[in-house]
Amino acid sequence: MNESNASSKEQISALVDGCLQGEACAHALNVVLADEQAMQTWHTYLVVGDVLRSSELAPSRSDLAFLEKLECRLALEPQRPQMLAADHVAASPANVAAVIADTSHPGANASVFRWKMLAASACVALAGVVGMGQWTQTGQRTDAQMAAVTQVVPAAPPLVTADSSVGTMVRDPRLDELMAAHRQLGGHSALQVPAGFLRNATYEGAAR
Amino acid sequence: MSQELPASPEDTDLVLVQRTVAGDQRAYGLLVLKYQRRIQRLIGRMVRDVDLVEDISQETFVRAYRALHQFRGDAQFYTWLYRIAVNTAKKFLLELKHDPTVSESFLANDEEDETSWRKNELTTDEGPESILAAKEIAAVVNAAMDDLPADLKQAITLREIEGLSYEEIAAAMDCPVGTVRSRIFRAREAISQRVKPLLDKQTGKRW
Amino acid sequence: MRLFTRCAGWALVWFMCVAQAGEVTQPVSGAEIPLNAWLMRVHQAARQSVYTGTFVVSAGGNMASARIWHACDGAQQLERVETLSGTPRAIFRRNDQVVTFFPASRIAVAEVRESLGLFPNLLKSSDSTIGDFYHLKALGYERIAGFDAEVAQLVPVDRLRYGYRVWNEKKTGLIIQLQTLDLDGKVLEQAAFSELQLDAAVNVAKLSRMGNTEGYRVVRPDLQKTSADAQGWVLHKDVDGFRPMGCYQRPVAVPGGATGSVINTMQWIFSDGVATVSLFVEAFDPRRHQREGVTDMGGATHTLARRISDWWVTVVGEVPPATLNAFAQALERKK
Repeated sequence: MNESNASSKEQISALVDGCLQGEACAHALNVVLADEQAMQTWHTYLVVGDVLRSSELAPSRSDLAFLEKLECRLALEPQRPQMLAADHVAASPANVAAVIADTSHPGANASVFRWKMLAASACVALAGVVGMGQWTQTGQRTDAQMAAVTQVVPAAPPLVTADSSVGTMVRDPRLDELMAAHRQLGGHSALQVPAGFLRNATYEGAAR
Repeated sequence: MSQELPASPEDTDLVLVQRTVAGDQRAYGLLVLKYQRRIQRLIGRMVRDVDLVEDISQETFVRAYRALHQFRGDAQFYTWLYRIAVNTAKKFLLELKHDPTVSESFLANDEEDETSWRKNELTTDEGPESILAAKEIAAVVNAAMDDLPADLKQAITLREIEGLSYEEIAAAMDCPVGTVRSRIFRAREAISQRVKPLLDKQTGKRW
Repeated sequence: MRLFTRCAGWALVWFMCVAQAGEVTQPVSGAEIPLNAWLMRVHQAARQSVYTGTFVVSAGGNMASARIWHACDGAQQLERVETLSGTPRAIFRRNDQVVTFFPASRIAVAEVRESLGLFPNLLKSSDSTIGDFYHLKALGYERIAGFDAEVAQLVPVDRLRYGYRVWNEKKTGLIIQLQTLDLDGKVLEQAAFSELQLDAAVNVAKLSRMGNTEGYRVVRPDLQKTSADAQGWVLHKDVDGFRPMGCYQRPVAVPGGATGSVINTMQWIFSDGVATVSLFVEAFDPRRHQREGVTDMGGATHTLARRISDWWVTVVGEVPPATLNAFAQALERKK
């Protein structure tokens, strides 16, 4: 165990005990999130603690397999466009990026579950009716999903903010375009009139 | 969003929740790795079938994920998660009770109290390999503990079993906090080195 | 005394209307209702009733509303929708021809919406399978928007689609309120008349004139009818209940691109008779296509994006994300 490895593990040990504060805590978390070995260390330390408290907590099946299976399911959970508080209505894309973006850290631009690509086949095996939905992020980007649209695409329009009684929703204009197209052609519903058609007509976005 | 200075493991939980809600799904994985064993044990007291225990545990974490934005941090994360687990299990049990194709052996008694545990109830339906694997891990941890030098053993016992803070341990062992931190780390690392191969074997591959 | 006679008179008229409206009468609450007959009645009501009202759609804390006029002139259906929220626009419909007016820019978008003409045929065809995937349960009666309504629930047989709760005006069968329910029975979105006047005095001639595009620049979206097969795509596994309804090549505006910059996109449409799913396929572009996964668009609609080699697929529909995923997994290039 070399020097830097040891000190990094000692950080993780302190993290497990909740004894890191502020920046140190954030940094240690970033390391654990970005590095397979570090995450393994986090996991092992936690197992040790659990087993010391009760032998019943010794895992009888792979904890990792459990997590991978869960991640397949979570990949299908919808991401909501970020909601800002109502008083941020005048937010510019830059402000939006600042509010939503995580602090930049080494792992931010890495593919989220790169090391879980190995588990892709496991995911297929584990998935039943639902099928595999691996959550991946391609390319260089921050966690500010909506802001990334404006950062990368040149001369992008300001993010469309929808009227809302609850707050201002930041929307992806591209998805709105497709939604409009879907509503235009896709009203093949037994309930299309009046409800379906009217619903679509009432919804139709500003992006036209 | 500004973060409170964490001074306890519970605050770390809150940070992880905040990161997840902010869009970092990986942060949730750390919470899962931390609490999945406790949740599975809890549910294993209500349900016998191990596959069902896993299903309900999975469902618990999915529901918790969906409701994360509602977690305020004024209570402990595990307490909040615990309630979700119990409600999820109850819902499953209710559905099972109404399903005539499900045999009674799926269901344990209606005990939810974590303190009144029945030893090894969970393992009655595990395959022999899994039971052995868990026992082996427990045995290795205990053996490794016994092999630790006295000061390391004491430090990690006070932390993990007695739940004392670094400051309290420093007072108890009459040494600086930095030494406490170092001793706990070395104890953990020593035990981990012996447990890791067993965990890897369970997974079937190295991480 | 007079009041009683008058009510009795109305009751008699009411009974006659019900008898004429069709064979469907509301059975005991909880009982299953024959689906196809119910659907036909609902559909007829929408075509033949004359009404005006205010329509409100709410989903996930957001609301949008519009004023509606609808009339039936012999074989022709006329409808006008004026939005009360969001970008001001008015939609004029004559059967399946739809014109959307944007007064601010003086642009009128004219299009033909095939789906609006399709439904009765969909139902009459001998292989209509809507009843295989949804069951209809009577729930009772409620008063809503000033009308007596029958309440029914459209229950999906599996978890690939959402359920619905429907309020039909008792006399005509017109849908007054429609709720889309998620897999746990929670309301995802609601579309309803907040106020409604049936048999209102709608001036058909005046309504018809509202479709006049004078003063507007008329734009027709460039829609090419095609087939998925011709485009080189196939589903290697059907998604239960969903059948292909049509396939189009169409230009989709590029947000942030130069004005008029568009991408040719294939849209392949599926329906199970109640919910619709569109599969959009375009060439993969790493600058624009960043994030795979599901997005909640608010309400019942979700999208799922996925890369398939040199292509970028976006699945859109009023269905659970797992269903979108089933489509995304099943889509592949023809061999």
